[in-house]
Amino acid sequence: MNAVIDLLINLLSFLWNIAKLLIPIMVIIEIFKDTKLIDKITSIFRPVTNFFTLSEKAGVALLFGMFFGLTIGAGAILQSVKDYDVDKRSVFLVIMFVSLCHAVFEDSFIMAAVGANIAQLLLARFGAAILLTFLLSRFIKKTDDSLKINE
Amino acid sequence: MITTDTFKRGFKNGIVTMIELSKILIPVYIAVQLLSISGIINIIAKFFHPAMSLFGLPGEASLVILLGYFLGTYAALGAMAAFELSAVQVTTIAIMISIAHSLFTESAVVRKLGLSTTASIVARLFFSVLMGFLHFRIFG
Repeated sequence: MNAVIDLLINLLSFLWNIAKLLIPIMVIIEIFKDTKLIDKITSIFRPVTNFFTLSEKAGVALLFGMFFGLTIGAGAILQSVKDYDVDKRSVFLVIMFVSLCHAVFEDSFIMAAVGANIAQLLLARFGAAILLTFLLSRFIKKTDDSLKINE
Repeated sequence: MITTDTFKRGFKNGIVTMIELSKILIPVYIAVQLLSISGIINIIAKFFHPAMSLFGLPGEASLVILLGYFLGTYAALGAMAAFELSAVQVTTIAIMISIAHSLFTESAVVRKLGLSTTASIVARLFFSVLMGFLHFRIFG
């Protein structure tokens, strides 16, 4: 019985940890949109999105995933697909990048706290993510099918 | 222009996305916990024991890495604290589990986007192993 209660408590704290990041970030995204900051971020990220041959608005999802984690990144991607019709190819490439390289601050500081070399860690993650996304972006042809997420 | 409506919309989007993600996160989380409680993860850890020498790691490290792959970074860190490891070994493990962790939970998130979870898992495991191996060869 105690095990079940523990599991439920852990589950709730797990969900709470996501919610307390996700909700503020969704608010931040709305603020970005209303102040046209999203256009600025999009243009700063243009060299990156160009390099990976992504659609422009995918840069925002890439940024959020990279800094805030895969779950948050996925939330941002779901939202950007709804808002901007980001194509499926871009979503796939962003997810592959973010799969290897997400929550870089949070993860890296925790790892550094237990004695890992932070420079080597970041180099390995960014190196792997950039290499993978670059290769995939050259192998996957651009098509018109946009991702529809309908529940 | 930022109005109260901006905050309301953000909050609402947050809740809606949270519910969408929870539909998948909750069942997966419970399943992985059951896998852990039933001891199946321990059997797997024994099996992978010899492979660890490729990364210059002691056998116990397989448990740390598997905990990372299955349960997540925090579980792996908890296990890592129990073993004597050098700075290079800690970094090797950190690289491997930073690239690939919480594979069931996080792949469920990828699935939510309508994408192949296989591609994500294969890429993460491949680069986890590759980067761990390279790190050991270069710095070990």
